[in-house]
Amino acid sequence: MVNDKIRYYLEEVTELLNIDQLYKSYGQQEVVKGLSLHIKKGESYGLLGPNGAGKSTTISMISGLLKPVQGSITVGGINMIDSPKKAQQLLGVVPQEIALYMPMTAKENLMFWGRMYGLSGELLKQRVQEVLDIIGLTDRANDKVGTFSGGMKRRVNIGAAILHNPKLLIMDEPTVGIDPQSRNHILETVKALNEQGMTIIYTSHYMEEVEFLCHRIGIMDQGQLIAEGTIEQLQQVVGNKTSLTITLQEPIQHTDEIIQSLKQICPDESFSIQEQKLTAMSADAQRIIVTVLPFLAEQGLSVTAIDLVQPNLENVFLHLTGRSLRD
Amino acid sequence: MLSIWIVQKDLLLLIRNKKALLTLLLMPLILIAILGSAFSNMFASNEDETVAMFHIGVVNEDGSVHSNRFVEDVLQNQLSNFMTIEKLSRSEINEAMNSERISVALLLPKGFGDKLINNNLPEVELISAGDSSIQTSIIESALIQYQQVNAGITATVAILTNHYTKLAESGEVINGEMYDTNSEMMTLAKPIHEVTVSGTEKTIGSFQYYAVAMGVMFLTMTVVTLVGTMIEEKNDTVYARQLTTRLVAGQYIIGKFVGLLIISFVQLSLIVGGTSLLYGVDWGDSIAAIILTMFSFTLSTTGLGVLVGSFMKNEESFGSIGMIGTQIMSALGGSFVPIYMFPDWMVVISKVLPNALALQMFMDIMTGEGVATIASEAIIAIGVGLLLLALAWMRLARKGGIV
Repeated sequence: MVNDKIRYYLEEVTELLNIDQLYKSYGQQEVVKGLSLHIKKGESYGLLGPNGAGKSTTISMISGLLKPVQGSITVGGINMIDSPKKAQQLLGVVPQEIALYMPMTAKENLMFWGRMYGLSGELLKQRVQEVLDIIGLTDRANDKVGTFSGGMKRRVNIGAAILHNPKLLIMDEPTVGIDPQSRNHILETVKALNEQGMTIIYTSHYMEEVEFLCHRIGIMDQGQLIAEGTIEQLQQVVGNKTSLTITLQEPIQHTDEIIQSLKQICPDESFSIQEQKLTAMSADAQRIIVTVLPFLAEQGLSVTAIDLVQPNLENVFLHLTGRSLRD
Repeated sequence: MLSIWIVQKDLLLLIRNKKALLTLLLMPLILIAILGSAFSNMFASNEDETVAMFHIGVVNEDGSVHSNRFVEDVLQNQLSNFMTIEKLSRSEINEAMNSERISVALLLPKGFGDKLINNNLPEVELISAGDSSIQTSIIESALIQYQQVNAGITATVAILTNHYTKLAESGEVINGEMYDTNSEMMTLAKPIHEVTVSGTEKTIGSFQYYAVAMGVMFLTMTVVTLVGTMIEEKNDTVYARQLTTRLVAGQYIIGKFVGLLIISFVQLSLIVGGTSLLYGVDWGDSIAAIILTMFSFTLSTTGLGVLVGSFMKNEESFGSIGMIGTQIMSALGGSFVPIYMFPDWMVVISKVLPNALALQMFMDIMTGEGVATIASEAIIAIGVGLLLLALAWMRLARKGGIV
């Protein structure tokens, strides 16, 4: 499925995806600002970011669906902007939505998408059978996709992207809205594909998925890559700090004054406020609770909940962006 | 090559969509049957239909040269095969109708002749008893024809008078060559556009007309339905996914068009075959001309539909607009009521509609014409269709990003 000329390029390159100084705007709004990303062959890379961070736009540009305003994208040494169809031969794209034909069976869908990737004859039949095995739907091959559960549809959605054995599999939130069993199946499948040498870019709102699958993680916010590294490297950003979120009954007014007062009480800690949520990152969460709660009471603010989160990717994200991943 | 798989997929999806199949394939036959029966009296039949002799009463209150000529020369002499005339006064009408001596009464009011002199269609009164639509239609047609001939003669006389006055003023001698009836001036001065009807030319019957009209309307609906699926694909990101494969926008459009062409061909074959077998509709002698008309019409409407579809983001809004648009186009294009019954401004509008053009082409074929007669219209439709498809391709390629 990859022609000889492209295979030659692939042998030469160690970095499968190279993105340099990528910019994209919609009208006056800049959604991707100077993004650079380098992904090695065989790597599994997680791209995280809240809604509107620019992840989907970045993925559309990597997939050849959007043209950047500035910057370069090369896949396996092939320039995506100059030779999109050549570069796309190396890609498999799993879109966020189910991009399949519901009145057609799983097998018919896979046959169709295989043909779109240039497969034919015996090879096509063989790959369809193999993919049905990989996604665990051999026994439902002749059932219409429209009759499938959400998880099964997601599995066919992934199957349609791996028929041509792509070198780089781009997965945009492939587990949204499915049951735990299907999610586990998908995660195991993706892990197995990566172990067989397929390079993966995986975006998700679920930290545990990214932690399970990815060697390296990039965190995007407001169109920029604000942090990148292995899970261990990223966790060092917050050190051993616990994230403490205090939820109040009413949204907090005069946020700057409140944060300034808190800084005076606890000078070594960092605070952020979003509507009625006050978040503190601290190595000593207990001291924060003892100090901050009386202060809030003095201000006439009623507390409705307190959440403590031990150091993990979630509070790395919170620390860096001031927002929760699912905001 | 990839276009073939787009075609195969679209056909498979259509076969699986029972509602669309029913609308596209069975509904035309049902509607043709209903409309053909309902409007059968508006058309000449293929078989020779005879109109029974009827008796009319004429009240000539004008008494001018024109009113007398219309009654005596036109109605009494030229239409003697259809009617007999009884001259009456206004007060005698009721008694004549009650005693069934006459079935229609025609009143020519004062000023009838003056209106004709001023090239206006005079207003007359027609009183009919019971179902006399054919009789009143004959009288109305005769009056319109008489007024047009009269207007034509007046115009001719005016042009000739003007022409020869100018010649006389310039001192030129008037000679016989100037009476050449082929000269441009004489052509312009002809009162009525005359068409020589050969003895073998056929007339269009009601079933024939509605077979064509419904065929054209449902072909338009096919385009709307399939363009709707195209927008649905765009919304469901299926199209975007296709563009991440080897497929390019041009192959996608070709695939969509070929699919439409095949479906249109099947639909038209069913309409032609079904109406021929069930209702004995005569579609003419030229299969090549029928296929050429179908091809050119599908191309022009597909071009229009795909171009509109490339701008639409919402399949539902396109579906609504498309169906309303189809109905309006069908109404203006003569699918419900024949174009010649429209007011003049609507006739002008209908000339730019692809479905009206196709309807005219099909009717030409039914009256015995072949490829040569419809070729120029087909070329125009194909040209417009290709232009619109090219615009749609440019739009989709641009929207699709770097493909």
